[in-house]
Amino acid sequence: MNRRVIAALLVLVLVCSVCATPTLASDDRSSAYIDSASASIKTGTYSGQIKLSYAVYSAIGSADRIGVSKIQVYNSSGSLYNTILGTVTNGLVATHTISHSGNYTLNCVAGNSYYCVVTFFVSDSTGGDTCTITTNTATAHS
Amino acid sequence: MEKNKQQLQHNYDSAFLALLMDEYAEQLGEKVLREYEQTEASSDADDSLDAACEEIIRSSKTVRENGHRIKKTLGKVGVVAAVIAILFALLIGAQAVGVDVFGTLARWTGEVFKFRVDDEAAYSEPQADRENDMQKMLESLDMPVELAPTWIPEGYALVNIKEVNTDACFGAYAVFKSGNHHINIEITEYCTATDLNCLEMQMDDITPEEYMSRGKTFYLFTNTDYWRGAWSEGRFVISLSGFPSKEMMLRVIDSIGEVSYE
Repeated sequence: MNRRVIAALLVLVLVCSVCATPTLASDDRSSAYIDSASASIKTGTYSGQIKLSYAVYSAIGSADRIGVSKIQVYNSSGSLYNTILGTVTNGLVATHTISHSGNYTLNCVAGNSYYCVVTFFVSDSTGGDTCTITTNTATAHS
Repeated sequence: MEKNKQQLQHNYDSAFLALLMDEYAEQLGEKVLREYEQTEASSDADDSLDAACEEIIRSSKTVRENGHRIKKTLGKVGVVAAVIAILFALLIGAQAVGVDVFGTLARWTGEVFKFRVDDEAAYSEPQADRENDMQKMLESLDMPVELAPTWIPEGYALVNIKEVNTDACFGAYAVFKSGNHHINIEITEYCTATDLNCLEMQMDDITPEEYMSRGKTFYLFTNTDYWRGAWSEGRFVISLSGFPSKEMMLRVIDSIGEVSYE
């Protein structure tokens, strides 16, 4: 292959790779309260069910309150289907602990596909922070 | 001025003549050598060419041939180097945008740190070994105990350890405290690649560094200026966070055992 062509390709690829990183880097989402979090969904056990599995880890040791503050369920087309608020009663929020994890069953329309936007939070007497995770898409049990 | 011009012309003529003579001598030598070789092959005649002359001509040919060979080799090496450079650049570009190259690939966006796993690689459980609180919990979860660090910085004591167990993942999360400061260690096994892909670690807007320890590549970055490290292989994830110095975290990383897959 012509050396000039190779050189031009090399320059092009290097420029593209250098440009790619700054394009992706946007808002700083560091958190003094939240260490990490995960949320994913699967087809549930019974008709119309989807099961959400979640975990959130405190960055401040034992948090006063930690867990899921909100689950927004979206149709795969992007329209909001349902919103669930987290409480200690429904098990989505825990108190005085270093992490909180669990499974939560969502009732949807059988055979339809959904994804969730899950909002996590960690707080203590000094303040708190939130973060959101968009899950994968799963189909409600038919 | 005219004198200098004449001198230059004279030097040029001399050099040109020397070049012609050299070329002629070389051609003549080669011709004699060919005739000699033909004569020797057909009639086994006595050596009629001076041995020293023959040696000089042969070495002259060898040098020239070697020169051609070196030029050809350098050309090939240049092409190979260019191809490697392009592949390397593509790899960096692909990694930056999160395209999976090796099956397990780290992706960072300046917001959160994520591992991306596309393949459900089969693996077997490594052999279990030994024994601190994290190791005990990993053992109870049937996870490889080698994943737990065996060294914790001086002054830090375990204040809390909690089992995580959902339909998506299971593992141990431990918090060690020294004064008002604490470090966190999370060791998790995810049930599927999809579950692992939904894990996000908070981070500052920096490009992670890579650090290799006992066959594991850790990604090092910070969250609110405290150091954290993350490793993933198969569906295992180790996350270390809250370290005031990188050196302290690297010592903890170095104490994590090598996991041998059968």
